[in-house]
Amino acid sequence: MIARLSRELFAFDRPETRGELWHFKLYETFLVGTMVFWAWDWSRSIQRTAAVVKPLGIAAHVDISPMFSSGLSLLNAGLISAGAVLGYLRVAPRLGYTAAFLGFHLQYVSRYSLGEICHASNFVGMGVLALAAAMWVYPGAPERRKFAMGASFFFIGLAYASAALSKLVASGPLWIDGRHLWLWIGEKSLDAYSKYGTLELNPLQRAALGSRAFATLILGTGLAVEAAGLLLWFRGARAPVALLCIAMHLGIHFAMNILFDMSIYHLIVLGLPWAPLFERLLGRVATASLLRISRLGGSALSAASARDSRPDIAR
Amino acid sequence: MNGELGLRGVRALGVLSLVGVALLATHLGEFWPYSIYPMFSVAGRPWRRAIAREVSDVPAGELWQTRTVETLAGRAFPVAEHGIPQIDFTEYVNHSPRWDAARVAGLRALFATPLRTQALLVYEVRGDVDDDGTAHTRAEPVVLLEPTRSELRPEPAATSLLGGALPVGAFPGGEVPGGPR
Repeated sequence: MIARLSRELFAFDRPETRGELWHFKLYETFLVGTMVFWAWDWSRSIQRTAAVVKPLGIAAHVDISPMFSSGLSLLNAGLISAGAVLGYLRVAPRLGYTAAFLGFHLQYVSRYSLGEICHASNFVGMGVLALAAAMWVYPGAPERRKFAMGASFFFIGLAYASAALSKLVASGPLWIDGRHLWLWIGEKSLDAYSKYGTLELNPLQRAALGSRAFATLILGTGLAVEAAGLLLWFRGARAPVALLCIAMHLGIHFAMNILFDMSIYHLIVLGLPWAPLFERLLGRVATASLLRISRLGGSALSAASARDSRPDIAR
Repeated sequence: MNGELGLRGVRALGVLSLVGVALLATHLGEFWPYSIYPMFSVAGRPWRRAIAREVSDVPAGELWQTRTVETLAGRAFPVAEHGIPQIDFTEYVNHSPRWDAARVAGLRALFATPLRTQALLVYEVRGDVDDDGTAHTRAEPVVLLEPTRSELRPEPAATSLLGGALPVGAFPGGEVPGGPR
């Protein structure tokens, strides 16, 4: 069981391909870039905050109010960025990624102290934690890469399954009753009204409000897809499950006006089969280079042969 | 060798998971980046949201009436156009069972830029849906924010939708006199 899980998540039993290496670099760049962007973006909101309404994470234990009135959030964004660069360039990967992760936690609890619990950054945070852990657990670069990717699939799969389980625990199997979707459509339409000043339902929302059975089908499908998220642990199921989760997020967007855009980007970068695609592209590049070399070599040979056949050229 | 590497990885995942479970169990299911992801887990509850309206031209006598979403006083005030995160605004209102000076000051800080020139009325909207899918809404005005003063809903000792006692009277510049309200 453990051996199977380890094989599916990390695949230490076979060598890393070039495609997998480039897929990891794409994912790491996405994680680091997003973290640094949010660190600076959040610092603007933190400076507009006046009070902690809901203490989250470490804010439940220490007073984070100095983050609001001073430039501490900017300083923290700078530290997160420095840590990210040290980790990304492998100058000090353990210290860099660990410091960036801890600073990112402080930035998150400062940004979301007004009452909203925002899950958009949890996947990115988990990815950065996986990177930091990989640097501590393994000395070798390929093993670090495999662990960081595997741990990300593990926690993201667990996150989707946990969301499904939370619904079943809190509301039971009748969570899928279409009337619940009606309530959420009303709630989120009001949010959209507050946000944009217009109150309008789209065709999917009108169809869901017009048929309880259709609304129930939407919720049932969503719950099933969330539960299937656990299959992200298994190599062969990753691409289809990632696509299903992306479709579910788009469904949530159209039904309830909530766009989990970062989760969609995360699934695209992590879950789609980039490794074989990169492998094929690299193979084509290599083939083209070989052909060019052989053509160049061929012309050079022809030129040499022509030169050799000319009697006026001194040997 | 490969088995040993894999075992080390599974052990590391085990440690990270145990730390996560311990943090989640002691922090109501949320300790970033760990979460039990409970959004939308509780189904079937009537909802409560917040909305702001621009009320510079609304007569004082019409401000404090309870209305439906379709008949709110004043003009639409789309918070996104003013760079105010809508969820922050709604959660702030929802998590403010008592409107004391600090809470009003926090709300004014969120709307600092538009409040230089505009008067805004913040409503708390409660909604429900009946069995044929028709939505019913009830919007209660909570606080009036003007450039130089703030005013809470004036009904004496009325009970808020959130269960707290509502305050009485007006106070300048968002500076509510001390004491719980």
